[in-house]
Amino acid sequence: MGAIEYSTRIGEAEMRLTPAAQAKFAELLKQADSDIIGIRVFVTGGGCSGMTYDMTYATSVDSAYDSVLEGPGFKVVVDPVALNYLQGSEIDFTNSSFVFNKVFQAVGGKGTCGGCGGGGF
Amino acid sequence: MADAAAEVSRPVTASDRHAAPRRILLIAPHDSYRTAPFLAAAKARNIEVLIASEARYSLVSAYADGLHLDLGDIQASLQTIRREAQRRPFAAVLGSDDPSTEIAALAATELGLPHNPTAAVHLARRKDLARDRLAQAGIPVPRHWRLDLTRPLAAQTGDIRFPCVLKPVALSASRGVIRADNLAELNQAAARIQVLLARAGLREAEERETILVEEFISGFEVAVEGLLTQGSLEILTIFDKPDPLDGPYFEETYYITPSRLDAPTQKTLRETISSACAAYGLREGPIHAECRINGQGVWILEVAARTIGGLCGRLLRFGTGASLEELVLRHALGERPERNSETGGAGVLMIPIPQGGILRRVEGVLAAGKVPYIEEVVISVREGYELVPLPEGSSYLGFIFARAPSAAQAEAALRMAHACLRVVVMPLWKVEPSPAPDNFST
Repeated sequence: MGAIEYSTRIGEAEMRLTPAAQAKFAELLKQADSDIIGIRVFVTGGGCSGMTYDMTYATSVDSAYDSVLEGPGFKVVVDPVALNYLQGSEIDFTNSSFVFNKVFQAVGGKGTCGGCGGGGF
Repeated sequence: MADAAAEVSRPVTASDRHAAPRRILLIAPHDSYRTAPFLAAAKARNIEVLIASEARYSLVSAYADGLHLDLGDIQASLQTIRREAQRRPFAAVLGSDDPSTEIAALAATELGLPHNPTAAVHLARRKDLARDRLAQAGIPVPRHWRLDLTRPLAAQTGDIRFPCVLKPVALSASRGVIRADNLAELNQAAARIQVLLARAGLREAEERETILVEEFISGFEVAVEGLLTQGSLEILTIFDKPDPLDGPYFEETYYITPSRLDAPTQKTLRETISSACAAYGLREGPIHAECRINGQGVWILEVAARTIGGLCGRLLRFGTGASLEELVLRHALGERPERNSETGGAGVLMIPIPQGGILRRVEGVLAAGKVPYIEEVVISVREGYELVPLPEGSSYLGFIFARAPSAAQAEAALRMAHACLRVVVMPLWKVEPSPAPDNFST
């Protein structure tokens, strides 16, 4: 049986960044400490209140698991669980906030459990 | 809710002591700081404690192997407790934290065990109802108002005096407590608390939709641990809070004991808290009170029917080294161990969260631990986890404990140890789903 190859590069079909988001990432990384290597996107939560999508500085890339989206002055690192939820999303930076403003393939969805209507409260 | 005075709690009697097994049911949230100290105390005194919780799938064996309740279904929970009590009886039922004190009182009622009236426990948990009851009993309370978040605020704020403090009616640890000095600040604070309440996991709609607003009371703040026996209050300790708590948020930091307040003030404090317990109808078990003291007297901020929060209870040792939890368990069994507190001073610093973000590391922990009189430095948030400061946050970065010959030396040691710490936090950026129709909601 042949080994399954796991791509560590994030392709256009998986996740995109708008030019505004790319510029903001580059700006944030330019200001960061020298041991910061990129921006990590991750998901938390689930259940009734849905998934929460967050970002912070990355200090390392786990070459066995992490995927990377790289461009001029920026590097975005995503773990495989988060990438699963982020499939088909685009991150934008608008009005001083990061947002998902387009979904060209809704794979991850809101991540709500649906058991109680998905609204939490 | 029935009137507290209409219910009569049953005191522990000699026959209870002889008939009851040394088995206690402790109803606890899965993330309670208090569970481990209670289990350690039970082990030390050979008392069997069964944990009841909603944590059926917990990795902690005390929860996973305990009794599993659905606190959203009180009748089913009571039936589960009844069934277990029939299998092997309990001597007492305790609630470790605010959300579990009411069901503990209900269960104890059903099982015919010593308990506080459920209405009294309800009052102790609901800040707005407690304010009304204290006022009815003639105990000084700040002027207060309720905001109903389902109605326009503009119609409800006309009478409010400033400065005031906005509080959720059923959260603890200063969560969601915000000072407002004018109407604009009040509206901002109310909007912020409304978001917090929607996410706080409160079961009752009224608790999610109500904010208590009260006049800001300036003064020196203390926390008091006590134990009620047949309605008689014994003060276990008074903690001074030496740093001013003037807002806009009310983060707990230093707790220092013994209190340096003069004897007449301590006497007034004890009498006022005792009156508050009587007004609520509390008669048995631990209480934790928060009070402000100024030229006008002692003001009750809250009296909760539980022990102190966080890991702060570990600061207290009684008699021959008994912990606060040991004292509470033995009290529930009808035992009356020696109460004399240790001599000297002690203190705890609930380490403030300096900013929101992702905790990268805390530097200087070893140096802090080497400061004279420091017993322990506990960082309770792991690296890589999110730090959420007040008013939205509900936990501390950690705790520093000190024990010294005097209260002043304990406080000085805590301040020196805290100065050794450097908390390195990475920023956290939220990525919000856009409101555009082609987004995740489709």
